[in-house]
Amino acid sequence: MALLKLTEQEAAWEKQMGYQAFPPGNPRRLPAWSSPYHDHDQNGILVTLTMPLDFAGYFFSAFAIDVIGEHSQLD
Amino acid sequence: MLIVSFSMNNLSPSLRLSERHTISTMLMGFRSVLVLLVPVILAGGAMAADAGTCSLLLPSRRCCFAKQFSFGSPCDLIETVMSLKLIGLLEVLNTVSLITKGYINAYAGVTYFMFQLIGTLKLTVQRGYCVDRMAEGLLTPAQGNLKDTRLDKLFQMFYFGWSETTRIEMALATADGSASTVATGPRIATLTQLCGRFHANCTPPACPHYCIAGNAALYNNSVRNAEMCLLRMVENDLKNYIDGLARSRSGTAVKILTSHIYTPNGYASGYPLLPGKVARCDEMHASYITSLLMQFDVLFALYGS
Repeated sequence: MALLKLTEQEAAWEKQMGYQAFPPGNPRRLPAWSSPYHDHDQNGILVTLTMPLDFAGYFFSAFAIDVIGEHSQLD
Repeated sequence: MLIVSFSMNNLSPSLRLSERHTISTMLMGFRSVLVLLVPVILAGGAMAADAGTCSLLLPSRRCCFAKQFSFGSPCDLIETVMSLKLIGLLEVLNTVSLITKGYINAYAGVTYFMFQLIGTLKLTVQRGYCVDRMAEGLLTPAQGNLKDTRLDKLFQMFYFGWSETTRIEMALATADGSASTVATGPRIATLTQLCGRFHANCTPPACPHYCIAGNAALYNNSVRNAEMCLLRMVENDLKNYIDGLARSRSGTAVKILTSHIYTPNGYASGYPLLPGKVARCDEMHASYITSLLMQFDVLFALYGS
């Protein structure tokens, strides 16, 4: 599987989303939905869902997925 | 079908919370929602400035969305989309019309599963089920990255800006993504250091498996080993979920393009799905998820505690 290459702008966005999982930016520790954006050369608009995970008060990890809707499934 | 028209006034972020809820509730009552944004938005000074290089004015250029986050349920995403005054008009029309009730269900399904994953990982961190997998030698250096050595080779370290030597102590991003503040420190390499700093004198169950006396050796006293081992288990669950939904044939569809997992201490991996596998929520599943939506605030509170 080829390595996923990110542009500098995309990498900055990735980091931005990552930072959103840290406690200062997300004190209630809720899942965070990004606003819609273009990425990955997809012909559509993505949103990213980031889920922080704390364990015993320690920020252990964050999960994120990029999701895109499909026009053809609307009707 | 509901057709909604927004003007500059009712797109204002100064909308009262009750008004936003009313709009969301109304939209969710319809299977299809077509949202029309009237041209006055682009004629308005602030909105035109925000729209910048986008869409109708310069249709050949891509829209530049503001990087603003919405915390909470998928419904909050809709509210954000509606209240954001970003906007390439045409793009936003497409975006909002995409996020119909069916899509809320699909997004809610994804959210719900992510919560399940986190629940699984919490138990894993606590109980240390994955110790045996440490012997597998999960990663090996490859082309400047660390690569999964298992046959499927699903995960690769590609996270730009995440360091092998630096730990992110604190990060704070502005809501619009225009700036961020990051405090870093040396990466914590050993479990002895990590546990001493963050879990000193902890006792089960409020104690990670690797911090229980005598267990650090099972991970070779390596933070990277512990994070890798624990997160890999959940990554596999996530992959199975995505692949399973991709095989489903009915219902509303969303594509999950990429997954990312990372820790403040430097572990990062991704499951690049490009060009994307289709994750579907069948109607029964969607209905079930919808019924769960109202419980999400409770779930959030539980997981946030």
